[in-house]
Amino acid sequence: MRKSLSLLAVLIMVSLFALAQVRTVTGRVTDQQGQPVPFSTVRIKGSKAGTASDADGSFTIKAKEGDIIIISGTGITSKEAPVGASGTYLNVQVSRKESNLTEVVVTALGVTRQAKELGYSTAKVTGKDLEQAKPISVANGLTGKVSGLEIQTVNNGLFAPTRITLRGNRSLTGNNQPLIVVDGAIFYNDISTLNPDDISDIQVLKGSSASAVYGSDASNGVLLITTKHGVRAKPVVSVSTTGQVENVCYLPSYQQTYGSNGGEYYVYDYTNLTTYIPFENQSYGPIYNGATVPLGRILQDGSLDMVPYSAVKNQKKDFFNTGTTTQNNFSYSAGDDNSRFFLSGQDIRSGGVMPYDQGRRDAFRVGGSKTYGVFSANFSLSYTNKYTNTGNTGSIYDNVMAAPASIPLSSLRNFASYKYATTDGYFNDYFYNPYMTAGTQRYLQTDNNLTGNVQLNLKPTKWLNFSYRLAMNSLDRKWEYNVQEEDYSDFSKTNTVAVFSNANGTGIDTLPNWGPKWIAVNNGLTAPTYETYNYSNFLLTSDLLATAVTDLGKNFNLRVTLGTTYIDNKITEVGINANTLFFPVFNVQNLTGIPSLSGLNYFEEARRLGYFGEATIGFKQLAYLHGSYRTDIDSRLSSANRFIPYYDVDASVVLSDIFPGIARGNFLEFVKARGAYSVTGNASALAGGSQYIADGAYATVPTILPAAGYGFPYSSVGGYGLNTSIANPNIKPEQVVEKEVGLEFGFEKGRYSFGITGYDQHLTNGIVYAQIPRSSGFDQALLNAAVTENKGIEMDFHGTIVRSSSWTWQVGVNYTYYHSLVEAINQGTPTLNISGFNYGFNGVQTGAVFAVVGAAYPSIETNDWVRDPANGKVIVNTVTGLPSIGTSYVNEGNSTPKDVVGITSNLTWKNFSLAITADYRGGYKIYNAIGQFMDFSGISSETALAGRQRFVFPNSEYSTDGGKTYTANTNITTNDGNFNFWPGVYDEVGSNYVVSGSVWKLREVALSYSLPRKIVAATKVIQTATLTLSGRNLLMIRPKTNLWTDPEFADTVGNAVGATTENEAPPTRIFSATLSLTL
Amino acid sequence: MHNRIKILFILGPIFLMGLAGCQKGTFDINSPNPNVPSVVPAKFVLSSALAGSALLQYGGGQTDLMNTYMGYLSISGGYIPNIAWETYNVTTDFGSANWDNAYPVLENYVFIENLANQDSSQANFGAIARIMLAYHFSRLVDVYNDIPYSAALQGANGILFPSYDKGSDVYTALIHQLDTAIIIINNGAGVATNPGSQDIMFGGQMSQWIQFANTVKLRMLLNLTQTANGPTTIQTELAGLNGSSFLGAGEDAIINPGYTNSNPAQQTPIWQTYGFSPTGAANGDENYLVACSYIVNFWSSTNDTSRPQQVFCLNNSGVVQGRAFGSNNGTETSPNIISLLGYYSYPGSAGPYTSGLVVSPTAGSVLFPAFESLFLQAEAAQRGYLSIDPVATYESAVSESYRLLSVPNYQTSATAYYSQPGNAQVNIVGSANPITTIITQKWAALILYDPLESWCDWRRLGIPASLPVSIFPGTTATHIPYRLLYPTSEYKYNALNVAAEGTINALTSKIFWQP
Repeated sequence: MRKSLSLLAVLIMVSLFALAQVRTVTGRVTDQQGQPVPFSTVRIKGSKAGTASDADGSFTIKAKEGDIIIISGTGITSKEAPVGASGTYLNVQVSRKESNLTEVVVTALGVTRQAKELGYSTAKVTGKDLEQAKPISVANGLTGKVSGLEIQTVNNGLFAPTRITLRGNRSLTGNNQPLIVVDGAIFYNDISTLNPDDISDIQVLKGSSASAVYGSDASNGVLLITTKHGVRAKPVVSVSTTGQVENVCYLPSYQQTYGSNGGEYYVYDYTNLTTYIPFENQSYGPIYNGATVPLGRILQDGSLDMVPYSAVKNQKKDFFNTGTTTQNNFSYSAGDDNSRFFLSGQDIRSGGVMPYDQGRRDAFRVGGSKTYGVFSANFSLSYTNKYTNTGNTGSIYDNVMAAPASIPLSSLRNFASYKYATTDGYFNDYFYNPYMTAGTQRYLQTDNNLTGNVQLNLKPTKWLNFSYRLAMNSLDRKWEYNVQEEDYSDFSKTNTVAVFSNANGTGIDTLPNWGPKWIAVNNGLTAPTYETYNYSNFLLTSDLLATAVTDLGKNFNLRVTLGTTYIDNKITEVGINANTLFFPVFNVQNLTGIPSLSGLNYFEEARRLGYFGEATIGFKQLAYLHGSYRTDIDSRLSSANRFIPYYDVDASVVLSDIFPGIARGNFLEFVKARGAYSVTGNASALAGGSQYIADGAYATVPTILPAAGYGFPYSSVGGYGLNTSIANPNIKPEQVVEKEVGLEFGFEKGRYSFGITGYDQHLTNGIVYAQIPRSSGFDQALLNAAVTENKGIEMDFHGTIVRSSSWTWQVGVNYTYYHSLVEAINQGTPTLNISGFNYGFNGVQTGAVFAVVGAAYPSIETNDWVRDPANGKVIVNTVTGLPSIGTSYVNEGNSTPKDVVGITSNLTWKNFSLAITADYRGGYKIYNAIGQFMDFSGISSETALAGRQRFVFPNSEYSTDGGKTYTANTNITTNDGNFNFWPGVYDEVGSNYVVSGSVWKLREVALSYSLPRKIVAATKVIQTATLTLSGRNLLMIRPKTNLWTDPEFADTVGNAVGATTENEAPPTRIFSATLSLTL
Repeated sequence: MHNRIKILFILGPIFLMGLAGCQKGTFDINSPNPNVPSVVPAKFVLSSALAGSALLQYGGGQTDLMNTYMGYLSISGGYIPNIAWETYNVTTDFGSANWDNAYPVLENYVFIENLANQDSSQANFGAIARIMLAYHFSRLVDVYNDIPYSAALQGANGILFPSYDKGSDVYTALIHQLDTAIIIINNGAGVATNPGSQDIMFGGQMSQWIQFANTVKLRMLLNLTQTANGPTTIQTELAGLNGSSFLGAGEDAIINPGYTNSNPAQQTPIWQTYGFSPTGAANGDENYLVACSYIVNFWSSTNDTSRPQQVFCLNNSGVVQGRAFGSNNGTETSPNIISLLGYYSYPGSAGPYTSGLVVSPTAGSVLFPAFESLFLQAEAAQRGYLSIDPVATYESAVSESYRLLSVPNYQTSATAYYSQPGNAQVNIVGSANPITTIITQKWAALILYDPLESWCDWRRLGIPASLPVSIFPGTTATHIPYRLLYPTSEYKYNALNVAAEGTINALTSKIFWQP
């Protein structure tokens, strides 16, 4: 009872019942390291009066002189402290037993429980661990630290987008990312809008059992984020400043041997490599020889750029900038007996590696609490303004990679006035100068994120607590796309003279009848354009909770929570496209014609009311049984499908307490076994995976859409067409049944711990927009048809390897194994395409990410060469030596890791500390679409392997008897090894670009030095001063077959990860230095 | 019982009663969808369906393919080669838009037909829908033979995986549908609502819809000439029809909702494929495809100097120059040497043209040119199925081709052309094989307008007999394909039903009406 009381105290922050005594004593319980010890029991010896310390270890108790205050609690050694004659402040230092069993864990709905009560797996990441390497996004700080939690940073760039999953994927087309709850309320804004410095800790509820009480949102687990609200202590001001530099590393492998030619002037035979084409973007020309050759065409003023015909060193890398970021933080924290206060501000300014990319994020937060009698209130309010100014990464990166190696790219930065860099003067007939693309086509986005959360608690008696919370999230976004295009001169549009040179540099020939610059005639934009939209997303949540804690006789205790939660989500968007402008003044007033709505004027709303309860019954602190139940009324579903029950039952048993023989001796401290079973739901597939419930509104209603694809409305004629997706009024949420078992061990009094968990999640009624044959008149149908299974094993080890007066070394190792299987999609439908297709140059669909019945999810499928089924060898034509493309797709494997290892190490020596995070992800494949593009361009290193000559297709065979027998091919060469082979033949087959995604990464290294107290104290102002040097993404080890990029990158943050394109800029390394002071 | 438990039992229901605080209707906000309608009048679906039909006729992909098969266009070589295309290595992706884009358009006609079946005032809409369904389904049979028909387009009724019908059965059913449509129009005269301007093909002139229905029927019937029972069927079905029953001279079936150049989707479909975006960028195939030497040589050998430059640009030397399909000749890649399509004034060439085939982004989209109707009538007359003068009808057809291409003084030019003495490729009078003359000229006239119909004629009659195959090295085919393979989407999503059609070879599997 005492312990549950101590937990109860969390809900009210400060105890209220104490015997009337002489005076009020306040104090704080801290451990050996000076860290607060929350929720310990504070009693007066010989009296029943008592209280509990709060979240930051503080307590208030009425006592008189001579009383002995006893501090006890789970996980600490009891300590007595006498109340002196005077003074009202008591700092009690206790020693921690360091048992993980008694750690206090925040669970769903903010209910705090002891670790030993939990029947399911959770993990905690402290704010300190999160921000050790000064990540800009919270998600980056979580990477590698918890088993089962996978953070995939799918691109670099400003505020890099991340995908977060707990225990992999369940839903084929729904959202698989966890629910984020901040200070008890559902958080809809992007996690990257949170200031990592504001976070007190993050509790990771890994499975759906842990989160079941969130009902139809619960199947993906939950990240429970607690922000700082101030502590009872004297006011502390913290300031820190970080400077960061970022550089491109790991560019795709490219050839530096062959110069430009794109098929010009070759008749049937492309192997002689004689003609260098000075204006080509494809590199199928002669071998670089160092001669001085012309580049591009003769300009209007008669000048002609002459360059060495040789590869420019670091040509591609030097295109990019060194990214720089500055981060300035300050915070103020204070608290007294009845109130807490915290405020913070952060300013991040960043210049990206892509030329002209800029970003800024300013985050502000205030939070606090106040207690008055039986009432207490707490609040937090945060505002984040995020601005980004970015370019068309894909087309810039394309043109950088495609540029033949001899182009002095980095000298073309000044596209406005350097004559060989301007629109007219750029060497290439077919594409723009990438610097110009970067400088003139800009996306500007400003996000205003506002979150507010107020909570009122009423505690009428010591065993009962009511709380009501009202919270809101608001995102207002203004997005703009400005294109400031310069037109080509009449000279470029009409000049038909092209310059040719042989690579020997023996002279320049001009050809008067070649035709003008291709892009000037075909693609030259003549006017600036402008597009904009405004988007707003508003979420209101309102929660009412009642919690009761009571004994049931001598051996049992009970905790019950009942509650309701109401959420209302509204999304509006209005976009306008001004097409062309008279002048580059970017707004719609300057347009030249009629502005068109870009299909972006809509309103969506959805509401949900959940009512729920949960209860825990404990038996003698040895065994616990916990259950939860919830039903949601969801406006998106028909009334018949609303009352679906979601529930969880879990239990834990401290085996070592029941059978003390197990933990005899000092080595093994405890053994706990646990198990959980839950049924939860998810209806986010209605919204195509969006986490916002409003996005899933109206999916059940058949619609007829404006026929915009056919140009409607015309000036006098309107047109509507059926939605090609069949709506389904009877759709139900997906159902996930999760079974979970786990064992936890503690060794050497908390010095080491090990936990292992196995889980199995079975999804039925999976919502899919199943692809159906067009002959049905539609292309997809909304159905409850998919079935998936998702199993895994998670292991976590934490240990203090070295602990001495000056040294400590703590190591964490976590391992996760994932296994998934798609059991059904829709009757008779074996696959479901969940991504866009990748294409070869000739429009062949070369591959995509799929759900495939009988395979892991997601899987990459591609087209492939026709192979001999007996041995997998590629079959070539006896005449042409060429393989041919098979008609059906082949499964190349799963595109998310099967094995993940995370390693953290924290070494401290006196005032130094070194923190390292590394991880491994393996057992999966990645589709590198940029490889296709590079083979098209002739810039990839692969295209140079055979010296651009005819070659025997590796590992091939042929048949001379119509396929009855096959002979290994040692002599039939391809009819071309150059322009007629790589683009148009080789790049049309997706399987050539699928390789292992295995990778080891050294993600974070942070070295800190805290100035000795003596020196700091001398300033009289500064309390602590710490200098930190850190690096992120320092090392990436990939198999040799991965010639292209970081396998973590993907073209989406949705489920369809597995393919990278040129839209993902090259990986970068980040170094930073931070100075932190507290005043 | 423990007091505290009692209190809990009391509190629980009170909490649940909190639900009552939510007013009735709080959760009934999902319908109607505030952004798009669930019900619209038939006329708005008609206009978009017809616009869809126009786009199908000229959409990139399938028409490109057939235009190259039929000797009209070649791949320019200014890009990398497309070996599968240039060697007839037909895959299930070839021309898949022909199928994948067609069925959803047809679904809209089915929707209109269903609305009309429930409301007799909408009879004209229903009749138009039936005619357009027959028009499109017959084209699908002509490309794929067996197709989902009776079970098709019923996804909304729960048939997600339609089975296939025999091509010949589909033809029979469609001819019946066309007859029914004509009856509906006649019965509804003066009663049923006129589609008016939402009929973006005939502007509500229902008599033209009857002519169109008969012309579509004629086209289908003539495809049966080489089948066993074909002649009998044709005789029976054409009984009572005469020249005025069909689209006649000047009566092109042209779709135009008001095409403009103000945004890419509002351009006329052929311009969307072969022209330029409103900002001047190439729409895609503008210089991917160029003049094919086969038709250029044909025009030259028949002394046609008018039509080539209404279709193609002049090159730098002031002539229309073609490239052989499958050519790999790198010296031909400049658009200054090989003619591009269209009005387009290439620097160094004469122009710009103000008329012709790919003339402007705002021109109406020709679904069924009058000359095609006249060529069909000429063949039917020549075969004795229609009692009209085959010679005059043929000459009118050639003349109409000149008119549609905006040849200046088209009648004079056309007359001079088809009157060339002793040239059986142009002059039907005295031709030893008038059918060959008719079909040859029909082939020449159909360039870009309807390559599928030329393909049907070649498959049915082997005309033009000299139609070349690709000269791409390694091409083994001795003739162009007979059909397309069912699209990837059917093999992926309707696997069982398409499997029942067995193995299909694009070079050898035939359409039911092929000899």
